[in-house]
Amino acid sequence: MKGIVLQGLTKSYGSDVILNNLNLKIPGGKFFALLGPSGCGKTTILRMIAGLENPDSGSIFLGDQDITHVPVNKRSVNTVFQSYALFPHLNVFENIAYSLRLKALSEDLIAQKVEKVVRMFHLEPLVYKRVTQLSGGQQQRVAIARAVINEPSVLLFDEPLAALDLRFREKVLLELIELQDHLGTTFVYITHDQTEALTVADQMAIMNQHGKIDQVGTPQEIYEHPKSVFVANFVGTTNIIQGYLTQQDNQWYLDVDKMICIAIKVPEDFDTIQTGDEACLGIRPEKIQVSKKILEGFSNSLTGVVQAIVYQGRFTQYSIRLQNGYVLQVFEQNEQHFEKDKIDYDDHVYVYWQKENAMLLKK
Amino acid sequence: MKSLFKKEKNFFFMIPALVWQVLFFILPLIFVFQLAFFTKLFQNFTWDYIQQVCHFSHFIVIFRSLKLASVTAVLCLLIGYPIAYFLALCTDQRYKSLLLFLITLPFLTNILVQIYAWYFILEKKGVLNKFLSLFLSDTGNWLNTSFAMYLVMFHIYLPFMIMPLYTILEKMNVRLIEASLDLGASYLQTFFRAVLPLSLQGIKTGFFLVYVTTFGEYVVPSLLGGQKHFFVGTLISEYFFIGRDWHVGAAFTCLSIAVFVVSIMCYSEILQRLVYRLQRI
Repeated sequence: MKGIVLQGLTKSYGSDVILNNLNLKIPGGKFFALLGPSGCGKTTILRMIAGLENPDSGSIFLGDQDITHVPVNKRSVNTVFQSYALFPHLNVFENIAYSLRLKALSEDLIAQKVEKVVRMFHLEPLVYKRVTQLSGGQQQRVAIARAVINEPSVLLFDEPLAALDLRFREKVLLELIELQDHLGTTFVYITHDQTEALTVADQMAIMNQHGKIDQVGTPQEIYEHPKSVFVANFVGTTNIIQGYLTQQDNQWYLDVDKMICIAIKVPEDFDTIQTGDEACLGIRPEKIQVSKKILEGFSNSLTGVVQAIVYQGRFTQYSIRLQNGYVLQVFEQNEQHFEKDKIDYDDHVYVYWQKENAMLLKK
Repeated sequence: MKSLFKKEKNFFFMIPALVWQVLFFILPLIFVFQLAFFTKLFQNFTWDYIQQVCHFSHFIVIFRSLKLASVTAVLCLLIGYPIAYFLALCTDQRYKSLLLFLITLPFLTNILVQIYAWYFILEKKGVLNKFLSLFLSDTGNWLNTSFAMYLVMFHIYLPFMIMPLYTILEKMNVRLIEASLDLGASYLQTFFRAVLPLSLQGIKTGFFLVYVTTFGEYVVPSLLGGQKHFFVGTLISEYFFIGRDWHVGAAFTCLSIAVFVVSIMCYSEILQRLVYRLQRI
């Protein structure tokens, strides 16, 4: 399956620069998610791949073919729009058959192809209904069916779950993953919701507010090894601690406000660092252990005071104020295998984590 | 009915419109029917008056008016649609209100003033002939021709066509046009398969707005089309004000209304079928 390569894409509206020299490789035959906050330019990228918008400069490749100047109706790329954009004057059958009718295929062939897709998306009872009579979820299935019937090389999804209610979303996500497995088509999925992206993606890219791509990788790489403060903050919850780097016996430490000293592990591919550099450390709340007892075997241990406890069902969230005033978020699984210490407000506690689980981040 | 008047409040707000409709539409209409079918006030029912007007010469007048209305409505549709499309979908938001204002400008001018303005353009030594004499040695006479009549009718009634079309095209979801292109349709296919059927309601509204108002029109034809022919409007005013034969006049009015209503139903069907047929392009 064909992948997409974006090379030096630049786009501005008037004096607003949306994208500036953006490069991105979207692997073929994979489920690729593009994650970013609203207004970061991710929809512009999608519209450029679809051909609905032209870049000011730069090129777009589909496989080895330069499609930058191929018009929208000649690209083997189909889009599932956020609002679905179903034609209200046509019924479900005609909506799905829209692209086939344009090619003037025989009536039999059209019926045959539509029937196949209809069965695939379980739309049998709805075939002759008007699209305005359908629920949001049904409309979405019609929109996807309409897009896949042409067997495009790339399928684009523009925040497809935005209009669905919360309970339904998880189910649709799993269906999309299944569909991608089944078709093997390159899927590009645009979203601002990190859980959606983490769920569906084989590969994902994170865009920051300024239209730059901060990191590309598998969901696990992105979550476990974010490379910037923005990525760490945007994907999941993270404690970001700022401080200055110091070194002692070949071990790097982060000196925070001259009060706390944290042992850190510097990743091999990290930029060269020097003593005295300002740095950020990201620690996922679930990687921290909280206890009233002194525990052995952790590379870091700090003390703090419990400021807030929020019971969240499967986990409990503690806010713990450290000596320097920083409030650390800690998630503790409510697995209840063994009896635990009862931790209460204003208790003095220890927090522990392994240095391998904390991430040194670029600012 | 129950759902229509679900809230008494709603009904309350409808009263002025209802009163207006009853006083100036329903009652006069009943009065006209009464005149056409009764010799005295709702007494002595008779077909006599209707029989008197069911004459070839009267049908000719009705069909002349139907032709005038049809030609004007079709002209307005063919030329008004591209203008409305351009205004709604291809114009920068900043200029829209200005252009719309320019289109509605003729509304602010009295119809007679507009017609006399056209006199200056179309008369023998008018602007049009002066312009044409630059290229041609022999220039024609434009006044009192059907060309002048249709031209001015078209000009006066064009805004009635553009307004409803503009409203519906302006509201059109641009994503639908993008979806059509995305699915592989050319711009022409997108127009005939998505834009045109989606604006069918606007086409119908605009078409009938022009068609209905021009059917009764007689000022323009009598001033610019020459006095040679009667139109429905002229004939009715002739019966009521000159002939003073209100019964026959009312009968003729009823007859023309009947023919007219049938023609409207035909056009509605034709427009619908035409738009659906064009989807196959």
